[in-house]
Amino acid sequence: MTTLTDQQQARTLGGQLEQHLLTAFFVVYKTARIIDENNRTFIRQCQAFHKYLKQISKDSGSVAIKTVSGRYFVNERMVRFDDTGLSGAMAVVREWKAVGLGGVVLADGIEEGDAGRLFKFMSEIKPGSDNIDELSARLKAAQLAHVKLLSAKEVNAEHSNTTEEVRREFRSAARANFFRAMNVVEETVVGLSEHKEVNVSKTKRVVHTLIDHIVRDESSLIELTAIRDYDDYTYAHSVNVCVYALTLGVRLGLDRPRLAQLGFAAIFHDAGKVKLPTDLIRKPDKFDEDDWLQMQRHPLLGAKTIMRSLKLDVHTARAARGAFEHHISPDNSGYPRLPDRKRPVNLFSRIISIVDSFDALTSGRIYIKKAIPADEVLRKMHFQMHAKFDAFLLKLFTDVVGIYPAGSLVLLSTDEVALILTNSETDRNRPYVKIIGNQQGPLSEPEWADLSLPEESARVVVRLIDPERYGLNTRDLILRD
Amino acid sequence: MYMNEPLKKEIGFILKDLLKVVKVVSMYPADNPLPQSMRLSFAEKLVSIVEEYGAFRIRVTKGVLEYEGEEVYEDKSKEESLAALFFETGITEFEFRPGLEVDDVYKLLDAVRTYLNTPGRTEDLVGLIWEAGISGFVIETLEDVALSDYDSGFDVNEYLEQGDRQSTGGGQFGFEDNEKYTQIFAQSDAGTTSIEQASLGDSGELSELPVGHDASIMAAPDSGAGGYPVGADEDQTSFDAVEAAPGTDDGAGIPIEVARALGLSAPSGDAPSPPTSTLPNTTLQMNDRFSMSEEEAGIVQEMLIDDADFDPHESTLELAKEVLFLEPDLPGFDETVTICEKIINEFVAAGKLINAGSLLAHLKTLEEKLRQKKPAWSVRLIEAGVTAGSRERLAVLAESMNAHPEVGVSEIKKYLDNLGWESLSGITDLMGEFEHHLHREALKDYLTARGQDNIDIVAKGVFDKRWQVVRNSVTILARIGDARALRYLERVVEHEEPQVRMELVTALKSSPTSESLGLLKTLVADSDRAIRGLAVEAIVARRGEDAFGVIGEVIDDNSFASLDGTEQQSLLNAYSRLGGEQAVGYLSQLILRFNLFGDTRQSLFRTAAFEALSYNHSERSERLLVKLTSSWRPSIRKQAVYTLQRRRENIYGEDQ
Repeated sequence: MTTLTDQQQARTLGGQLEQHLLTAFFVVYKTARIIDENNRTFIRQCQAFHKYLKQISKDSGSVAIKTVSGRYFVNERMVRFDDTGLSGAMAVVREWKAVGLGGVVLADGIEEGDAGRLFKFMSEIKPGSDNIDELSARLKAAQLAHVKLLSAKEVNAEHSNTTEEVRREFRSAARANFFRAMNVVEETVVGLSEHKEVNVSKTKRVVHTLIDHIVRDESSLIELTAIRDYDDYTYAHSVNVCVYALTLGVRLGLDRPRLAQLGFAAIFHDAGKVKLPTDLIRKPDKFDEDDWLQMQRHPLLGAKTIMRSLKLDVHTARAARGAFEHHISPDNSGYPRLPDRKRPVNLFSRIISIVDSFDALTSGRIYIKKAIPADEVLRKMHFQMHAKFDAFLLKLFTDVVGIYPAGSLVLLSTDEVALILTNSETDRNRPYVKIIGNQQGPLSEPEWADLSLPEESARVVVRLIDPERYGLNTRDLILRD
Repeated sequence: MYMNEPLKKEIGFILKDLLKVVKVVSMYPADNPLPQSMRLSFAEKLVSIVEEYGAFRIRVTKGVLEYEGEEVYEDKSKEESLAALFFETGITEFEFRPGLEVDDVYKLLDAVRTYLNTPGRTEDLVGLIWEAGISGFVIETLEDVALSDYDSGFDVNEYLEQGDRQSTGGGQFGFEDNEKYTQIFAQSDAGTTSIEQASLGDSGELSELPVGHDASIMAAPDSGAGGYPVGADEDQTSFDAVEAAPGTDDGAGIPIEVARALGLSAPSGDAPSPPTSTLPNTTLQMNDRFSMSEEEAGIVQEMLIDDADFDPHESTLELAKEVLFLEPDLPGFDETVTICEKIINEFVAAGKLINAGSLLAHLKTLEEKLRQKKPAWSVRLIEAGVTAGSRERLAVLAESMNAHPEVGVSEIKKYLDNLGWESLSGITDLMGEFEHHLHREALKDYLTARGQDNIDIVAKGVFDKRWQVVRNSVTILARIGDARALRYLERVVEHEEPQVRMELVTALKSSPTSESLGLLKTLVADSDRAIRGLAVEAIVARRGEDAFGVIGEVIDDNSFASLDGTEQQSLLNAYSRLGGEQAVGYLSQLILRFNLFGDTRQSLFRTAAFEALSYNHSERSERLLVKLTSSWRPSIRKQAVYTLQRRRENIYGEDQ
């Protein structure tokens, strides 16, 4: 556990040189698996890598290339490395994780030829059978003197100080992306309601940005979905639904074009509400029968609005279908009511149905006036409303958000109150949290703790806390670092 | 700063080549070796530059691309405007990086090509590049630049409620006071939301249809009943019941608002009955209970595979039908029909004539069903059909067919079958706009078939000032070929535009009717030689008494002399062949006429007459030729012997 004041030295971000080094590293890593070490391309790539290595080692001596929780470090500097442009990088990281490898140190003086031998050595790693100890022994036997392997354990321990800084970077970017998305949704809604031209490209680009972010760090966006106190929740709801849908879509393994279509459809799923009276949408009291009948027209109105206002392409076709079907259950119950409907509800509509319901129930801002905590919502969805949702997708969604979604408040066994920041990949019960208070009250400064680490074994999540019940403002907790 | 001159030069060349390659690839079919080799050569070159020099980043301005502050490419013209292409889509920089492979370059070329070839450039290049997922190529856009200036204070407060909903202020993190924390620990688990709650509601039954839903008129589009039964009662289906999962613990009931919102309860809005069981306490079991098994993961993968078949046009077609079905009143219905008109137009523009035709057919069927009970709705649907056949929409059809040569003849015909007679005039006018031969043939077939019953409409074109339109009408009228059509065609037999007359003679050539012979006869005297020649060809290809009569008239006419020798011969041959014994008289006159002064023309006519006789199968011609073999005139004698030989070969074959 660390606090900001415990930082031993200011962490800095790696620059372009470190980025080039990493790029060259992953390129050669991939090439080494395919071609011979005497191949001209391989030699040329090794030379490029060695060139960057020499430049960095001029100042620092040895050069360590490490990965921690999906982030990249060169020596102590986190590198903002865009690995979406490099398909092999994630494969390497997964491979390293599987064998417990956290990084590699290349000592000053390593020659080009040795670098080539190292890549060839690494190309022979077998994730199913090797482990870090065996690899280290083989390395020694190969007499690669200027190379040292680092275990994931030691790298994680070394960089636990910087984890929060790294996450802060992602949270900052998440906010920019999230609120820009809200801006775009607002423009879109206004455009639709006033029959003006809607900038579809802008909406698509915003979705692309969200996808890129989710692929790299979904929790920092999911965290923001927990903010509820907006003046007009409509826009936030659309973005929340989009974020959840995309997170589920990424987990499903949808390709890029289909992810973009899913996000676009999620943004537009409630487009029909622009055709309803504003008084109805913002009505503070309970709906009467007429109100419900009007509200239940929004899927039909949404489909019409989209088909009328937007040029037909695969995105708008998906959006129209999502808007129409997101309240139709897999067994064709729900609304709009179409007797004897034989057509199955589209996959994207089923996804949107789940995430829309989840956000509506956990926010207390859409159909109900009081929020229901996430875990209860998930249990209701599984046990009481299961006919309404696709069972497999619901299960996957529960797996994705976890029982403690990012942004939830929890009570720990150590009598502390904490905010969930990220769910652990290996154990959903042991998330990464920000501790904000205890029995005496709020902490003067928050503390961060990764409950999945052995040293945090004493801290266990006991239960979720309803912030509204205790008058706590999660907005501030989430937005302030 | 040190400028890598060799790299700068390479970058300049490669950027110049990029657009060129895209254009060449667009012009040729995909399997043509020229664009394939150009594409490969470009891709390999770009990859090798990156391998050799490493990453390089290009800055985009309005007409110029820069590398490290120096210009490496400038837009020279509208056709060579790579910088503008990136600039207008909001790209501020792009970078090629190690890891770029040949396939990635192909993806980039394809993205640029798709963008350039989309009419109106309505696609988003940035989006296309993103979707392509190109390794080793990254772009920065205006949005990225804006985002990089973000600091945590921006915009958020515009959206957030001013004044807390929950708290009363104070505390470093916005917390109100310590007591709230104390309360958390004091409450223990009671009143928390996770552990023990009451339970489940009962179901409601649907007793009536939602307001505005008139089931007596329309059945569901895919009900299998074949349409919209008038007066049929709709199946009174209840909403799904909300059931307790077996073996559950006590859990909270579902609020009625939730049930209504999610489509779970009856419209009466009755509250669910008191809870009888609770939700399971699975908080700590969630990981195991809700993790996906391998089998379930496989099922999810199958969902993805099924979803890959999603067809946006098919989906929109079915959705349009469903939305139409649900409209409760005329204004809504009217709006939806307008939307259907738009959708049909978009289908046509995309070359999806089957979908367009299907929706049009659906509107027609609906119109028939609603005609009696809802005449106003029916009228609206008729209007939609008329709109589809309007000149504006037909122009879209023409443009689309030119862009989609792969659309088959049967698809076009099936689509056109859904249009009303009002469209015939427009289609006739626009026929010339269709570039592909097969498409034009499809239109001709359609107009010929429909034109039989609507000849006055199709024939309107012959009165048009535009010769292209006249020509189109001529084609169809000639194909129809009946007496009414020919009466219209008579108007254009002396049209001032040769292309119209040419179209007439060409069309009449394939027209089998005897009535057309009269027009052909007139065209034999046409001032245009090519038209005359075709007219002669058309006539000599005919058979029967009528043809013989017309040929005789042509030969008799003064204009016969102005035809060239080949045409005259053809006519005489046909005259002889068709006329049999009747023709022999005239031919013998031509042969026996004295040519005291050695008139060349007369000699030629004599020769032509002999030639014609060689095609005459009658006995009389045989007798004449035999007699002529004994003529006192040597030239006649000689030609008669030769012709007799030829005749026997023509009739009996060369062995005789």
